[in-house]
Amino acid sequence: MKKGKIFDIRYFPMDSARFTLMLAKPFLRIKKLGLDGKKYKDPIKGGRILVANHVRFADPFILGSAFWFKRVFFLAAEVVMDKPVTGFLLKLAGCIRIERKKTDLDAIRKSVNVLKAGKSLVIFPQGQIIKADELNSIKSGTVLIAAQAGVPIVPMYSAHRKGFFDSNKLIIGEPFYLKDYCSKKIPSLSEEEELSQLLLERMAECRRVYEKLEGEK
Amino acid sequence: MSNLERLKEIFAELFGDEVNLDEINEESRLFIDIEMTSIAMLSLAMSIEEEFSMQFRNEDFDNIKTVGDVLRCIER
Repeated sequence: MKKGKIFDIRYFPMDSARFTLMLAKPFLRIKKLGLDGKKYKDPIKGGRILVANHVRFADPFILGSAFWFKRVFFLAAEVVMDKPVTGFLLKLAGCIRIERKKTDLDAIRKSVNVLKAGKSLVIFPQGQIIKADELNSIKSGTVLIAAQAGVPIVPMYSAHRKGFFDSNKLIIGEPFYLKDYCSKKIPSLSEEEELSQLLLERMAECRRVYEKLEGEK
Repeated sequence: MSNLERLKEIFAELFGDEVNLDEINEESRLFIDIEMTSIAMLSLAMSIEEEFSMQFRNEDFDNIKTVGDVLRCIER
């Protein structure tokens, strides 16, 4: 895998955003933990789809800050990306616009290209902010993108800090390859549903780890 | 094999028993008769692109309502 250049003018806006998020990290107090509850040490190299629950507006900034050391792209809904100034800035920072209620093949292609280039992509597979933090269902577009790009999915659970002295926790699960469950590049609809359900269970596993850690406090 | 037959094979692979291939013809409405969702449409579009070595444009989907519309995109 070819290593990216440290300074690449094409990524200057994204790298500026990364630098800002790096500075914000001590204030955001982000703890990345594995399924064993201990500090997460995997550098997450290469193309990966990072998926997490989405309960608050700040989630993308939390994840961006947690992974500031990587050039990470985000899939962002049209409602955010179509705002004139913020949308423009988000696009420069590495957000890919997706229209949730339409057949947005362009977004899928861009996502696959980013992943095939060895970059990571953050997707909030529920497709919107779910304040109640229910992990009931997810859109199966994540599975389609993973199948096309041939990259693993890293399930995560993001937990908001409870007080000023608490930390924002990110429980990171084991990456898994769809090809271990489905050999086709385009899964059938029933396979997509099963794989989406598997992804949901992996995210729920991360949440259970968080709940157990909170219970042990 | 006609393009419609090839398209029906794609439907069979994607939808399995959920769709009755005998009832699919050029007038079949994708979102009403075949009850497709936007995600299903994505899978269908990607499968068609691979099978027919073509590429859809996002704007095509604004006008695709029937199986016939899909065939016209394939054949343009």
